[in-house]
Amino acid sequence: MEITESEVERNAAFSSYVLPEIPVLSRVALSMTRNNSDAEDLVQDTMLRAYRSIDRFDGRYPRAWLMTIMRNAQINRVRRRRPELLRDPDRTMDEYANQANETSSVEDEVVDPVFDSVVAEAFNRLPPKYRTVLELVDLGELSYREAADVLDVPVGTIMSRLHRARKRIRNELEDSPDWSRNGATP
Amino acid sequence: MIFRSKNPHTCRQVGRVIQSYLDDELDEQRRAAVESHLENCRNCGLDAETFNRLRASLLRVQPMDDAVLNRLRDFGESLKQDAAG
Repeated sequence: MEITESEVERNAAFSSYVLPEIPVLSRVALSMTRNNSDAEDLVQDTMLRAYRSIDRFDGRYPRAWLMTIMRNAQINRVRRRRPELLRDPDRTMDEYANQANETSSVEDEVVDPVFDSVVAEAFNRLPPKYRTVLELVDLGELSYREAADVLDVPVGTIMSRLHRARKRIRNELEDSPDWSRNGATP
Repeated sequence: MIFRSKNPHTCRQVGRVIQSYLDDELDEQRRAAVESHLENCRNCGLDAETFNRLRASLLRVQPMDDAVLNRLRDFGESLKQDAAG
Protein backbone atom coordinates (compact mmCIF):
# COMPACT_ATOMS: atom_id res chain seq x y z
CA MET A 1 0.00 0.00 0.00
CA GLU A 2 1.30 3.44 -0.90
CA ILE A 3 2.13 5.79 1.95
CA THR A 4 0.31 9.10 1.69
CA GLU A 5 1.96 12.44 2.33
CA SER A 6 -0.03 12.90 5.54
CA GLU A 7 1.12 9.51 6.82
CA VAL A 8 4.71 10.44 6.12
CA GLU A 9 4.25 13.65 8.09
CA ARG A 10 2.53 11.81 10.93
CA ASN A 11 5.31 9.24 11.14
CA ALA A 12 7.94 11.96 11.11
CA ALA A 13 6.18 13.84 13.88
CA PHE A 14 5.82 10.64 15.88
CA SER A 15 9.52 9.94 15.51
CA SER A 16 10.42 13.49 16.55
CA TYR A 17 8.03 14.03 19.42
CA VAL A 18 7.11 10.64 20.87
CA LEU A 19 9.86 8.05 20.42
CA PRO A 20 12.58 10.10 22.18
CA GLU A 21 10.32 10.42 25.24
CA ILE A 22 9.94 6.68 25.85
CA PRO A 23 12.44 6.54 28.77
CA VAL A 24 10.79 9.44 30.59
CA LEU A 25 7.31 8.11 29.89
CA SER A 26 8.35 4.72 31.25
CA ARG A 27 9.73 6.23 34.44
CA VAL A 28 6.56 8.17 35.16
CA ALA A 29 4.35 5.25 34.15
CA LEU A 30 6.18 3.00 36.58
CA SER A 31 5.63 5.51 39.35
CA MET A 32 1.93 5.77 38.47
CA THR A 33 1.30 2.03 38.26
CA ARG A 34 3.98 0.56 40.58
CA ASN A 35 4.05 -2.45 38.34
CA ASN A 36 6.36 -3.15 35.41
CA SER A 37 3.76 -4.87 33.31
CA ASP A 38 1.12 -2.20 33.88
CA ALA A 39 3.67 0.52 33.22
CA GLU A 40 4.57 -1.01 29.88
CA ASP A 41 0.89 -1.27 28.96
CA LEU A 42 0.34 2.33 29.99
CA VAL A 43 3.19 3.62 27.84
CA GLN A 44 1.92 1.59 24.89
CA ASP A 45 -1.55 3.00 25.41
CA THR A 46 -0.07 6.50 25.59
CA MET A 47 1.92 6.00 22.40
CA LEU A 48 -1.12 4.67 20.56
CA ARG A 49 -3.23 7.63 21.67
CA ALA A 50 -0.44 10.00 20.74
CA TYR A 51 -0.12 8.47 17.30
CA ARG A 52 -3.82 8.82 16.68
CA SER A 53 -3.94 12.44 17.78
CA ILE A 54 -0.59 13.72 16.57
CA ASP A 55 -2.25 15.49 13.62
CA ARG A 56 -3.83 17.86 16.13
CA PHE A 57 -0.63 18.45 18.13
CA ASP A 58 1.01 21.80 17.45
CA GLY A 59 4.55 20.66 18.24
CA ARG A 60 4.95 22.78 21.35
CA TYR A 61 5.98 21.09 24.62
CA PRO A 62 5.72 17.48 23.44
CA ARG A 63 6.61 16.03 26.84
CA ALA A 64 3.80 17.93 28.54
CA TRP A 65 1.42 16.85 25.78
CA LEU A 66 2.44 13.22 26.30
CA MET A 67 2.12 13.48 30.07
CA THR A 68 -1.42 14.80 29.66
CA ILE A 69 -2.25 11.84 27.42
CA MET A 70 -0.68 9.39 29.85
CA ARG A 71 -2.42 10.84 32.86
CA ASN A 72 -5.79 10.62 31.11
CA ALA A 73 -5.01 7.10 29.94
CA GLN A 74 -4.17 6.04 33.47
CA ILE A 75 -7.36 7.58 34.82
CA ASN A 76 -9.34 5.62 32.23
CA ARG A 77 -7.50 2.42 33.09
CA VAL A 78 -8.22 2.82 36.77
CA ARG A 79 -11.83 3.66 35.98
CA ARG A 80 -12.21 0.42 34.08
CA ARG A 81 -10.61 -1.66 36.83
CA ARG A 82 -11.90 0.11 39.91
CA PRO A 83 -14.90 2.21 38.90
CA GLU A 84 -16.05 2.68 42.49
CA LEU A 85 -12.91 4.57 43.35
CA LEU A 86 -12.93 7.22 40.70
CA ARG A 87 -14.65 10.09 42.39
CA ASP A 88 -11.30 11.89 42.56
CA PRO A 89 -8.76 10.86 39.90
CA ASP A 90 -5.76 11.78 42.02
CA ARG A 91 -7.10 9.86 44.99
CA THR A 92 -7.95 6.88 42.88
CA MET A 93 -4.56 6.76 41.19
CA ASP A 94 -2.90 6.86 44.56
CA GLU A 95 -5.07 4.12 45.98
CA TYR A 96 -4.53 2.01 42.92
CA ALA A 97 -0.81 2.62 43.11
CA ASN A 98 -0.74 1.62 46.74
CA GLN A 99 -2.65 -1.54 45.98
CA ALA A 100 -0.37 -2.39 43.08
CA ASN A 101 2.61 -1.67 45.26
CA GLU A 102 1.81 -4.71 47.34
CA THR A 103 2.97 -6.93 44.53
CA SER A 104 5.66 -4.61 43.24
CA SER A 105 9.23 -5.78 43.00
CA VAL A 106 11.02 -2.49 42.54
CA GLU A 107 14.54 -3.47 43.50
CA ASP A 108 17.79 -2.44 41.93
CA GLU A 109 21.18 -1.16 42.83
CA VAL A 110 21.20 1.93 45.00
CA VAL A 111 23.90 4.33 46.01
CA ASP A 112 22.64 4.82 49.55
CA PRO A 113 20.09 2.17 50.48
CA VAL A 114 19.00 3.85 53.71
CA PHE A 115 18.54 7.24 52.08
CA ASP A 116 16.73 5.73 49.12
CA SER A 117 14.42 3.61 51.24
CA VAL A 118 13.42 6.54 53.42
CA VAL A 119 12.78 8.68 50.33
CA ALA A 120 10.77 5.94 48.64
CA GLU A 121 8.61 5.35 51.70
CA ALA A 122 8.03 9.06 52.18
CA PHE A 123 7.19 9.45 48.50
CA ASN A 124 4.65 6.64 48.71
CA ARG A 125 3.01 8.27 51.71
CA LEU A 126 2.58 11.64 50.03
CA PRO A 127 -0.96 12.82 49.38
CA PRO A 128 -1.86 12.23 45.71
CA LYS A 129 -1.81 15.89 44.73
CA TYR A 130 1.78 16.22 45.96
CA ARG A 131 2.91 12.94 44.53
CA THR A 132 1.50 13.75 41.10
CA VAL A 133 3.49 16.99 40.90
CA LEU A 134 6.70 15.19 41.84
CA GLU A 135 6.00 12.63 39.15
CA LEU A 136 5.59 15.34 36.54
CA VAL A 137 8.50 17.59 37.56
CA ASP A 138 11.11 15.26 39.04
CA LEU A 139 10.42 12.05 37.14
CA GLY A 140 8.84 13.56 34.04
CA GLU A 141 11.26 16.49 33.96
CA LEU A 142 8.57 19.00 33.08
CA SER A 143 8.96 22.70 33.79
CA TYR A 144 6.61 24.29 36.30
CA ARG A 145 4.66 25.85 33.40
CA GLU A 146 4.32 22.53 31.60
CA ALA A 147 3.20 20.72 34.76
CA ALA A 148 0.66 23.47 35.38
CA ASP A 149 -0.73 22.96 31.89
CA VAL A 150 -0.98 19.20 32.37
CA LEU A 151 -2.91 19.53 35.62
CA ASP A 152 -4.75 22.70 34.57
CA VAL A 153 -3.74 24.58 37.70
CA PRO A 154 -1.76 27.83 38.21
CA VAL A 155 2.03 27.70 38.24
CA GLY A 156 1.93 28.89 41.85
CA THR A 157 -0.01 25.77 42.79
CA ILE A 158 2.64 23.59 41.18
CA MET A 159 5.35 25.43 43.11
CA SER A 160 3.63 25.18 46.46
CA ARG A 161 2.73 21.50 46.06
CA LEU A 162 6.19 20.65 44.82
CA HIS A 163 7.93 22.49 47.60
CA ARG A 164 5.70 21.00 50.27
CA ALA A 165 6.13 17.52 48.86
CA ARG A 166 9.91 17.73 48.93
CA LYS A 167 9.92 19.27 52.38
CA ARG A 168 7.76 16.44 53.67
CA ILE A 169 10.25 13.93 52.32
CA ARG A 170 13.16 15.93 53.68
CA ASN A 171 11.51 16.11 57.09
CA GLU A 172 11.07 12.35 57.10
CA LEU A 173 14.74 12.01 56.27
CA GLU A 174 15.66 14.26 59.15
CA ASP A 175 13.40 12.30 61.49
CA SER A 176 14.93 9.03 60.36
CA PRO A 177 17.27 7.55 62.98
CA ASP A 178 19.33 5.95 60.24
CA TRP A 179 20.12 9.06 58.28
CA SER A 180 21.03 12.62 59.17
CA ARG A 181 21.65 15.50 56.85
CA ASN A 182 24.97 16.43 58.37
CA GLY A 183 26.10 12.86 58.22
CA ALA A 184 25.29 12.71 54.54
CA THR A 185 28.17 14.93 53.59
CA PRO A 186 31.55 13.25 53.57
CA MET B 1 13.66 24.02 60.43
CA ILE B 2 15.85 26.53 62.24
CA PHE B 3 18.77 27.89 60.29
CA ARG B 4 21.76 28.82 62.39
CA SER B 5 23.36 31.48 60.27
CA LYS B 6 24.83 34.91 60.75
CA ASN B 7 22.29 36.20 58.24
CA PRO B 8 18.95 34.47 58.95
CA HIS B 9 16.94 36.92 56.86
CA THR B 10 18.88 36.00 53.79
CA CYS B 11 18.52 32.32 54.65
CA ARG B 12 14.77 32.73 54.84
CA GLN B 13 14.74 34.43 51.46
CA VAL B 14 16.86 31.70 49.96
CA GLY B 15 14.74 29.03 51.61
CA ARG B 16 11.70 30.34 49.78
CA VAL B 17 13.29 30.00 46.36
CA ILE B 18 15.88 27.28 46.76
CA GLN B 19 13.76 24.62 45.08
CA SER B 20 12.96 26.89 42.16
CA TYR B 21 16.69 27.50 41.93
CA LEU B 22 17.42 23.77 41.86
CA ASP B 23 14.71 23.29 39.22
CA ASP B 24 16.32 26.01 37.10
CA GLU B 25 13.18 28.12 37.29
CA LEU B 26 14.77 31.39 38.51
CA ASP B 27 15.76 34.35 36.38
CA GLU B 28 19.46 35.11 36.05
CA GLN B 29 19.57 37.80 38.73
CA ARG B 30 17.90 35.72 41.42
CA ARG B 31 19.85 32.68 40.39
CA ALA B 32 23.12 34.55 40.90
CA ALA B 33 21.96 35.81 44.29
CA VAL B 34 21.11 32.29 45.44
CA GLU B 35 24.40 30.91 44.16
CA SER B 36 26.29 33.61 46.01
CA HIS B 37 24.47 32.77 49.23
CA LEU B 38 24.98 29.03 48.87
CA GLU B 39 28.70 29.50 48.49
CA ASN B 40 28.87 31.13 51.90
CA CYS B 41 26.13 29.45 53.93
CA ARG B 42 26.74 25.88 55.05
CA ASN B 43 23.18 25.25 56.20
CA CYS B 44 21.58 26.39 52.97
CA GLY B 45 24.25 24.54 51.04
CA LEU B 46 23.38 21.34 52.91
CA ASP B 47 19.73 22.00 52.24
CA ALA B 48 20.40 22.33 48.53
CA GLU B 49 22.45 19.16 48.59
CA THR B 50 19.67 17.29 50.36
CA PHE B 51 17.07 18.35 47.79
CA ASN B 52 19.40 17.40 44.97
CA ARG B 53 20.02 13.98 46.52
CA LEU B 54 16.31 13.58 47.09
CA ARG B 55 15.55 14.04 43.39
CA ALA B 56 18.39 11.74 42.38
CA SER B 57 17.03 9.15 44.79
CA LEU B 58 13.54 9.35 43.29
CA LEU B 59 15.03 8.69 39.88
CA ARG B 60 17.01 5.73 41.21
CA VAL B 61 14.01 3.96 42.70
CA GLN B 62 12.14 4.13 39.41
CA PRO B 63 14.16 1.59 37.43
CA MET B 64 13.87 1.35 33.70
CA ASP B 65 14.44 -2.08 32.29
CA ASP B 66 16.29 -1.93 28.96
CA ALA B 67 14.30 -4.88 27.65
CA VAL B 68 11.05 -3.01 28.33
CA LEU B 69 12.36 0.15 26.69
CA ASN B 70 13.40 -1.82 23.61
CA ARG B 71 9.97 -3.44 23.39
CA LEU B 72 8.34 -0.03 23.62
CA ARG B 73 10.58 1.35 20.89
CA ASP B 74 9.64 -1.62 18.72
CA PHE B 75 5.99 -0.95 19.47
CA GLY B 76 6.42 2.68 18.41
CA GLU B 77 8.08 1.66 15.19
CA SER B 78 5.30 -0.86 14.55
CA LEU B 79 2.70 1.90 14.80
CA LYS B 80 4.42 3.70 11.96
CA GLN B 81 4.70 0.53 9.89
CA ASP B 82 1.05 -0.33 10.45
CA ALA B 83 0.12 3.07 9.11
CA ALA B 84 2.19 2.34 6.05
CA GLY B 85 0.18 -0.84 5.51
